[in-house]
Amino acid sequence: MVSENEALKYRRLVFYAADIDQLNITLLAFVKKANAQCCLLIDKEGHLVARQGFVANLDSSTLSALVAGSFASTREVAKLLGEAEFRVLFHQGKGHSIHITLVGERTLQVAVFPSSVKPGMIQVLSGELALQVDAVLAAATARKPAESEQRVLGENFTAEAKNQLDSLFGNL
Amino acid sequence: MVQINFGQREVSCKIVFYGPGMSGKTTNLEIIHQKAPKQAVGEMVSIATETDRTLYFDFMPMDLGQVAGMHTKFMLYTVPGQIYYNATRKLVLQGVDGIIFVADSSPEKLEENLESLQNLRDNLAEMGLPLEETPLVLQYNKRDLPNASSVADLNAQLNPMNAPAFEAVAREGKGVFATLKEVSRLVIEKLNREHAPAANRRRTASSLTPVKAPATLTATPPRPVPQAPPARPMAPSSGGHQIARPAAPVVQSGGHAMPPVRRPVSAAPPSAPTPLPMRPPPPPPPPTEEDLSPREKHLAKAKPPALRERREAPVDLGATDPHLRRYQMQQRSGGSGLLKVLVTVLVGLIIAILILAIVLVLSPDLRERLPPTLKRLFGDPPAVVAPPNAQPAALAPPAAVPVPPPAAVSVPPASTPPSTPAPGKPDGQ
Repeated sequence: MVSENEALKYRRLVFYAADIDQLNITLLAFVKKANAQCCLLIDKEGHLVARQGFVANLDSSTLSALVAGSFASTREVAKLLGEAEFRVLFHQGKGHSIHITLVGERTLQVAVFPSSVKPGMIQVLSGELALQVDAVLAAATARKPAESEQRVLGENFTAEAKNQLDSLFGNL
Repeated sequence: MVQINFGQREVSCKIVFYGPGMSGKTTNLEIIHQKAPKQAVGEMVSIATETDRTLYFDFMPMDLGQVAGMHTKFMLYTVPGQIYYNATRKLVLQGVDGIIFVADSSPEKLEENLESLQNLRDNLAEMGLPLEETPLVLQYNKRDLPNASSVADLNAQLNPMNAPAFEAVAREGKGVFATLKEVSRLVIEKLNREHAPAANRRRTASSLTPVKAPATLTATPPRPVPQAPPARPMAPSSGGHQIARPAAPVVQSGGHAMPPVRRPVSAAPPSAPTPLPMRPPPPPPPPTEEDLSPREKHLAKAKPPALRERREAPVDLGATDPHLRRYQMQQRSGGSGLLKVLVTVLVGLIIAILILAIVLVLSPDLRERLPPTLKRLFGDPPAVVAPPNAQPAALAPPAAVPVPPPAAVSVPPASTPPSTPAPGKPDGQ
């Protein structure tokens, strides 16, 4: 019998606006404080949850998918070593580095830094952020959403989606 | 799993192309990338070996745009088909929402097709996700092969679950989009069943009944439809390459709908933030007013919030905040250190001069020690002691000052008063 948390971990997750706002505030404060280029939260399946920083020219969807894939592959490496999974990944390049931290059980925190920020500082600041994000996510999971927040998909979501599919791919 | 992000107003679904090696999964994705409208698809990323075999996965985001106020995206993945890449296939399958199984129509590949299908079933079962409960579409690819197996044979061998099946020649783009549309539709239907308002679920269920069977490209006659249940998923609206299966013992609507055994709602693990309780996919007769809970009655009557009243998506401050941008650009440029030092020194100098000026204004003793040029800045007249009838020192003829005392002898003593300052007053010199 899977617990409710387990179910939530493997099933879909709905994020409400208040929680996303709180996450955005946390990420933005981190970006300013750590002098990071940007910071993203993604889930293990590669879906983007929140992002802050210089992301206008960044293909966030692709970055999310690749980072999630990269993280998933290292989990298999970790298993070979007897670890459940690695919780931190760090890739350093000439101009940028990327620091990936597993927050909780299903969210990945991805921070992109310019090379001017030293790896030790990245490690410390990312660790701090992970604690903050974990607290926000835990509160979001535990919190019962207010009545006004309990939104559902629009009434005509299905019909509109089908129309969009037809208009995009109808003649192909 | 589908992620619904009301904060970013995004819906994100994951679709995976599965199948044996060389069956055409990556080709499908490449064709979608080439032929789909540019605004609908993003860049395709492929993690492949040097011989172009998919090593990990191919990925491409597909963007439907705004759908009922939500930015709807499909993330398309392929898996590596080779047997020995099963570990990576499992990783890619994690969180899948819809699957396109690309089968090779060549008779020699039948075993591989079966093996891959069984592998898919096993991998999904490991995640606690039965194949029959996952939106699945089959694509019989390479129909242009001269020795391609018949669709009936392929259906009999590969499609016991009675999933929608399409013929395709992916290399030429035939059948690719029909397959994609069908699986997208199935995913959206499933999403709708679980996340749409109660009123909408009822409406959709009733509106889905009167659908016509899709056009087929094969000579196989459409299988008879014994009796369509009221809430089967809808057939593709545009004529696809969907294959009608021969009559099967299972009651099914049009041979294209999802398998009759669907995930019962009670079996789905509870999700804490799920806005509404789900309704059973195989619905009983249309619910009457009495069957509904008070909350569902309320939601059925309630109008959706107007768009302007909905909370706007949070502004991406990091991308738009000019202060942050300037700050970051300064930090990046590397020349800000020298500028900061210069500004600090300049401000310090100005403050020091101001303090000195204030001290001098307040302290006459210090002012006395200043050179006369600076003294004038503070408005101090030169201190001259002169007899009462004498002219001010400033008005004295300049020639009188440098005249040495012996020269004064030649001047008549009573003609002019002495213009030289009194001894002991160095300021007048």
